[in-house]
Amino acid sequence: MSTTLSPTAALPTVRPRRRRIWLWLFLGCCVAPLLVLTAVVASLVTLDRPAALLRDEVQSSTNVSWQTRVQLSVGRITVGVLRAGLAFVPDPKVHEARAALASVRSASVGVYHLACQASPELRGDWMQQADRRMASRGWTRLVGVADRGEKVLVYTPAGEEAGQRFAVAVLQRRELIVVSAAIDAGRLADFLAQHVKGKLPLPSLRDDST
Amino acid sequence: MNNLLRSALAATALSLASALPVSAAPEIGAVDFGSFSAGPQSKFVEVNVQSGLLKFAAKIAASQEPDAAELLNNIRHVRVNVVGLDETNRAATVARVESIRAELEKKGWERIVTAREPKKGGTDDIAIYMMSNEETIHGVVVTVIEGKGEAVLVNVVGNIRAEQLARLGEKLDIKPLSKLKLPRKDAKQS
Repeated sequence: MSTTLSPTAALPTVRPRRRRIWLWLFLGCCVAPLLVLTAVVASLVTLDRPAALLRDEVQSSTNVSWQTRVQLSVGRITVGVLRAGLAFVPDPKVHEARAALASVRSASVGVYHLACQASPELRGDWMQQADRRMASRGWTRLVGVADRGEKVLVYTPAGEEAGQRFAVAVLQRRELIVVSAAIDAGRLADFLAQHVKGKLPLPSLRDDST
Repeated sequence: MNNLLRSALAATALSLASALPVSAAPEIGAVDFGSFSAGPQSKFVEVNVQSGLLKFAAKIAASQEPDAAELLNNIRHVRVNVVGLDETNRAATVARVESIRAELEKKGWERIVTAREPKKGGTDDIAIYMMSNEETIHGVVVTVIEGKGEAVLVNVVGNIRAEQLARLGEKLDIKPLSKLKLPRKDAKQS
């Protein structure tokens, strides 16, 4: 028994394949910029990996909770845009600022404030714990200072990148500042040679000989 | 076949051996102070700068102070420890400094300065050691137990000329070293 279609019956419509592809392309063009923008904004307001690691370790060494005040990261493109923008600022000191910016490849800054009134108490081995955590990522400590209410840690990668990247944590009473930066050492050296006397920033042995 | 197997095993063993971390011979002039712990309320400073950053500092100094730049280029490692002394760590830290001094003398370091300087708040106990050959100083160790409550240890490693020591103390802001004056060792002595 065969089935025959009535000539008046409506045939199911089949969207051509080409129109489907164009539809997906259109949707992709609309959604992709949103995704990119979201990723860019997210990268701007989060710390890079070394700074986040250092922040997490210092905060976990205290027995209190912290509030984020500022959290910002800038990469090469943003630094380049900032530098280009400064060229239009009519100030004679802008030239120095541009020269300083030229030596920065990327930077990440976080400022955190204690939620409570009391100053934080750190675990006894907080510096060693931070060393271990950073060492697991290939970073070695350059400077460690603990002086009454102030604590400072400075790390740099061990190996080839030593001196080109830094991660710094400063804990001062109820405020924690974490900074991470990748620098162009050659340009920075040229900039500092013009503005800083050649003295290493090492602690002095006080000589109270008066 | 046996020879081939032996060769293969020997080659594998060699490549594994070269991949294994080999404990490096200790650097001449370098001293391991160990780790210190400061009291909860006392001062603690530790600085550990290797040759890469020192060359960076030399580059900064080169345009204005070429002799300082040359000095910094010859330094390979600088380590500084400043430990505040209080009731919780005074005895242990002083004992540690004394044992470091004894160890240095045992290893042939030359004690070039011994001083006790009375100051307000106590007496400073200073000892400076040097490791050198005929022409070059390979390492300097400065140990200070300050009467007012700090222990300071500094180790500088590099190829330093005797006449550069005071300049080194000046550039690194190490007062006992900056006051030091050593006779220059000339090749021909009258």
